[in-house]
Amino acid sequence: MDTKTEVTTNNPGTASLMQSEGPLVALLALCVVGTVFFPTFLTPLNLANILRQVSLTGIVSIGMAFVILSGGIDLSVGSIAALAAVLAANLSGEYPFLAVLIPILAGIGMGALNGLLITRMKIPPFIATLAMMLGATGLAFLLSDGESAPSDTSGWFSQVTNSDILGVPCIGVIFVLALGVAIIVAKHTPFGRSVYAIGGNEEAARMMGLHVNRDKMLAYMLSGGCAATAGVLYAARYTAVSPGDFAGWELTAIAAVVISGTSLTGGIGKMAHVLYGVLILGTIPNLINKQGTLDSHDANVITGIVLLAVILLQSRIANQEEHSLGDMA
Amino acid sequence: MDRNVNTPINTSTGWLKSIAWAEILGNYGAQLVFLTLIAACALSTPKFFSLGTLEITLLDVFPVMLVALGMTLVISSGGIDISVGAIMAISGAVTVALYTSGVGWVLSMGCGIGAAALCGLFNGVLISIFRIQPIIVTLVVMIAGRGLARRIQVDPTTSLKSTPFDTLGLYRIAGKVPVQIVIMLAVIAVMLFVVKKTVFAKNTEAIGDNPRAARLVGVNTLTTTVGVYVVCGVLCAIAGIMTIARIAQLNAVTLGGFIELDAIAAVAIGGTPFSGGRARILGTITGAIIVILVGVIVGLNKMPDDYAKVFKALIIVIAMWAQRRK
Repeated sequence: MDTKTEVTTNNPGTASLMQSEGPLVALLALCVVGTVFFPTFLTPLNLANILRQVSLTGIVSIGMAFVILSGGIDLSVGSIAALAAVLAANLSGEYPFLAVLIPILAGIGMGALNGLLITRMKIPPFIATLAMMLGATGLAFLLSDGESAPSDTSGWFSQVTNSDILGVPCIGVIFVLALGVAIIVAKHTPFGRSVYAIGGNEEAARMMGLHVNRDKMLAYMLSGGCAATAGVLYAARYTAVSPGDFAGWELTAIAAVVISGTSLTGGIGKMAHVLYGVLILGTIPNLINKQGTLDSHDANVITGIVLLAVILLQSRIANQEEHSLGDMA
Repeated sequence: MDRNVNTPINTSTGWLKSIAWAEILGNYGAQLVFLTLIAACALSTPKFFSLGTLEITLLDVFPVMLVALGMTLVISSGGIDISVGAIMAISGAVTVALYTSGVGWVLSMGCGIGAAALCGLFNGVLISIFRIQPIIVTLVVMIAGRGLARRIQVDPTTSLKSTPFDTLGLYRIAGKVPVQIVIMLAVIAVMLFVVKKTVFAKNTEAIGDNPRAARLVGVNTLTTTVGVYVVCGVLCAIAGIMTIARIAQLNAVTLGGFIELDAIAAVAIGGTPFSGGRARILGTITGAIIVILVGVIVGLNKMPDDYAKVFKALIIVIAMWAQRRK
């Protein structure tokens, strides 16, 4: 790996390419490995499977990306998804429409509470959302009596969620559409630009007259809403929902956003690249599965190594820029 | 002379009062929550004031206390370590793997602690040399570490019944005091000494306050940062090995699971600021006890465990609100 980084540091052209398209390069490398070693990798069926696998955490990652771009972090997304899924499952039999609406509103509400704790009570995002994580997980388990809640998947919403359009899983279409909207919001709306500005320098954003507190609140509400949507879709896909199913979703989402090249200090990152981060995290377990002899624990080790490699590559380049600007940071 | 003494008293009795309140809440927020909690327990739980409850609580506190003390040091350096649970699992897995393959139990434990120190070294080096954010580095170790621990462990669950570990886990000093409580008190004493008296802790807090300024005044940020994460790793190892000794069983998948949440919660309740620059060991001790007490009280009142999570969430928010700085 050392020689590889040496090459990139010696060649500014490659370096800037690695910086801007690093996640895409990593994803393509994984795909090449998959195609060469496993004949069943590059088939429409398998690709549809990967998309189906990553769509829910992908939707969570979109909200997470907004929060991280604003300089915050949201540890509560997995718990909000769990609570939303349990709510949706409990409502799905009698009130199929409310089963979609209420959990998503609840998720947005919990996001708003996160935002209030962070902007009004000045609690660091890490702690505020940690508290929300504990609270929402506790509530989700209490609502489901510690067991899995049965979910009625015969309604129209489940039918649509589980269907395919021309071989493409509907759930994947929802994810890609949501990401498309998120890209436009991040790039072309006052809210999106404000999120970047706040993440870049909150004090400066405030002095420029941006509604810092309002937009931070909105970012957390968006994150809560995305998480709850993923939870509802989960309940629409599976006939039994247990809050434990969502353990670690926040880490997957954070990892996806980090791999995509988004800086955890905020302000830097491309929403479109979240797609690469999400797909990389989905492709690794798929390859491990095809390999056969390795298990999910090995998949975690390999995920960690890939995560580290992508981050190291990006950090070396960031440090180099720091030096070229003089010793400013 | 008269004016100097009188002026503040005459003009601002109410003002002084409000300052005193803010100060008390700011400095002793955790302790106040703690006292309220104890009072509430005593009222609602008749069996609360018995030696058995005290002992169980202290034994339950043990792993969280050790990890939270390490976490306090890490957070005071401006970092965070979410890999603590995975490091516990790795040290436990290494210890048991060596022991079952015939290595002596003391050497096995030494290697387990060494493995955890290596994890800490890895964290510290990536954070200080490569300037990667602590949460990302420790996230990598958290994700990969548990998988690695599972790979090191041969059986999914290994029983340690009637081994030296079993004896150690149930050992009582002078036949009365569980060994965990003595270790915990020793670690607390060492950490108090380190934070109050050593240059290492001052350097750590300086880095947490302003890493660039610390570097400019000659603090060796590399060795200090690495030291902080190694200390945290070693404390995790002691917590991990003593946990498997107490239950005489190793399950690398569940050992130390979610302990990072309890540890971070304990530090937050204890009033160590997350922006770094200050380590409050006494606060963390109270915080760790509160975090575990909530679970014990919920259990004693025969409520589902999940209420404990909700109560912890409320306590974190209240403690953070009480200690906020304006």
